Amino acid sequence: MKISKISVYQLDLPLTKPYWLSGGRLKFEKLDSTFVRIDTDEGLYGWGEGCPWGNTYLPAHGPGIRAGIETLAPSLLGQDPRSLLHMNRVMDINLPGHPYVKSPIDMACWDILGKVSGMPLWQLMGGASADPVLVNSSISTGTPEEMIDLIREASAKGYKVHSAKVGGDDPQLDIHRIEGISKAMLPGEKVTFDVNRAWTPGVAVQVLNSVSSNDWVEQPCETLEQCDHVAKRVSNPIMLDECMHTFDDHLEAWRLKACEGVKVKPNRVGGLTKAMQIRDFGVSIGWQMHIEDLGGSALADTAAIHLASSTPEANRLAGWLCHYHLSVDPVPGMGARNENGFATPPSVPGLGVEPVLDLIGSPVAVYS
Amino acid sequence: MKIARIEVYQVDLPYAGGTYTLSGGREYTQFDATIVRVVTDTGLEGWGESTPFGSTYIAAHATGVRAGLEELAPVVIGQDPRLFDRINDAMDEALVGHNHAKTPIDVACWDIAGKAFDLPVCDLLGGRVPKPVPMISSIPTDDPENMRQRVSEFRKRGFLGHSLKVGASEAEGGPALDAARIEACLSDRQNGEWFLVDANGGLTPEYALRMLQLLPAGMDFVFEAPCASWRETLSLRKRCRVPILLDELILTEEDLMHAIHSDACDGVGLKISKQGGLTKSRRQRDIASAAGLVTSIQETTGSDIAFAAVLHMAQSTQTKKLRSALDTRSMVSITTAEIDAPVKAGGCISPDAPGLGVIPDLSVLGDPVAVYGG
Repeated sequence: MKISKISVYQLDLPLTKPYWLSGGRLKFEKLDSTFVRIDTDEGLYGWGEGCPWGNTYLPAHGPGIRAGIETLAPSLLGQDPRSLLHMNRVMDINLPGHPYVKSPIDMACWDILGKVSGMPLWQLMGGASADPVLVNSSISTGTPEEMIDLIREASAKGYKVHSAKVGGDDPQLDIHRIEGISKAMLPGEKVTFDVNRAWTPGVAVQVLNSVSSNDWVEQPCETLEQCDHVAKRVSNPIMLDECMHTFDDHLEAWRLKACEGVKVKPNRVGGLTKAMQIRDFGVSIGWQMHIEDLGGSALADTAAIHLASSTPEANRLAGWLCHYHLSVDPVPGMGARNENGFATPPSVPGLGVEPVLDLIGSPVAVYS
Repeated sequence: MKIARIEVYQVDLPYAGGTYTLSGGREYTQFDATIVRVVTDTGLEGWGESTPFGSTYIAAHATGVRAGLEELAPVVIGQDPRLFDRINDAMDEALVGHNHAKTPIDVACWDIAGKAFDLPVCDLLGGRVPKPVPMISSIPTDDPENMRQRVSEFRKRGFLGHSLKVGASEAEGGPALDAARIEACLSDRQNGEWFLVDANGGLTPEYALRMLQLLPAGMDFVFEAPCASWRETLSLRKRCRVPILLDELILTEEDLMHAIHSDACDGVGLKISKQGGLTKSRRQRDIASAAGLVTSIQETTGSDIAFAAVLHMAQSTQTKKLRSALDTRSMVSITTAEIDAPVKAGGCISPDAPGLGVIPDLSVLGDPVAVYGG
């Protein structure tokens, strides 16, 4: 089986309401998503999606995905999409770095492999059944009261795990946010405080040693070394996210004992194949993980939910659904959706999600 | 003074030596250059270039440079080009990473500032060191004798540094072939010459140790970028008596601090577009110098405009910490700009003209492929 054609689609995904990242540093109003369809000489095809969270969150941006696919396409045509590690090696040789470019291609290859083998991705990834995955709410930064109101709204929709964005200019306000929210948790509810690297190590140590909360704290500072400094001086379990790009970064975090868990995001690390390697490493060393994508429609969400679902429960904290924050849905009704705080991956062969062509327009580039 | 317009030009630069080969069977016959003209509301203008070494060398490719410029141009238009750090803040806020896309804008701002202050860029970067900058050749993998021949040709042209590429597959001859290449190239070594053995991240520690074991004593060289990852590099570092210079692993200040903190190397290869422009290269050069590391100032590749930025940075680097600079002009067969900096015995000297001292040849650049602003 050989790749005969790669079609690239672009779609703006407006957010239902503007999203402020920790501390109100960065505002996001829409996402720029790239859908990739890979066709083979045997008629089978697969879909992938790559959707960075704006240009300012990670070294990734929408036009960069399309530019990267232009560079990669000639080396991908003619390759066997079922050979996932080979496909990843071909991509890594022909364009070092740029994990966000490779993720939608890798995802489409997984979709094809699933269809060829007649298995859903959760099964190809090692799962025994389509386990429902607990999903996170995502609580934008505000005053403690505003944030608790948002959490109560999310609880009413079934969410039991909340990701509260903290990390403002004022450490005292962060202390109040963390104490207030932690105390407001109802039985059976959990919260992670996501700092999105807003703190300097000094502020992190000050804030976290001034709160009684023992909840997870995610990406307190910019770099792995800064986060490691904090992890050694506070009692909260630490989860790392934005500073983790390569497998090597994960090895280094483990060597330093800088965290108790990581967020596994296919688009940040280069696709489902590399995300699965990291997931497997995490399982073997006892990390707990959130598994979700950087952004995107229910297509990208569902790919990550397949991986989350196939992860042992002891190592799986939760996932998150970006599509819930969007005002458009190019895959209406398909894929993993929030059902009372859980999302279940489809059990049809492959990814189980396919964009409705009328909703994503004409391809912006076709390579064949 | 404000930036009013940004014009983007695209030029294919054929490799001067036919086909360039790197470890892992990577081959290059031409390079896709992006050249940027930044025009201000005062009429002063500046030039910058970003030419990735194909798409397979580091995380940089030419279509990505132009896709990144699409994001960056709107946020720097209206800004004062002389305020380098503020320009870089604006670019970093608009787009995380993507150093290669930020470089041509940053370099053009230095060119403008030099013209505005009536100083060559090397003086803005800390001051001219009144000595020629030693130039380094770039010798692709080949038969040992051919590589030796090429070194001797560059020697005749006045080059004092030589960067020998290694990384043979086991089938081609493996560590023994690479050891033979090193021995052949070093056999005519002259006083004052500096040799790099550059694996471009292509070796495992096991391969690197086998290669080093095969070399006779007394080979004076620095081992550049032996392995692809930090773990491999640190593992080799503990067991290797040859000085190590890191290049592809050092893209940001954070990477450099990590290298210093873990004592991973004795020198660093700074490439203007790999570090993200002259502003970031200068900061990293100064951090490296403070830590006692030597530097080799280079570019991924490029034409005369890219070379001008390399030369000014090198010209302002302390002699003791500067090992060499790359003459990108020797790698490509097209001239995009006039610059008064011939290679002589001992090296090259930055032009005295204000700014970069380049006069681009508009007939080579053709029409812009994109124009932002008015």
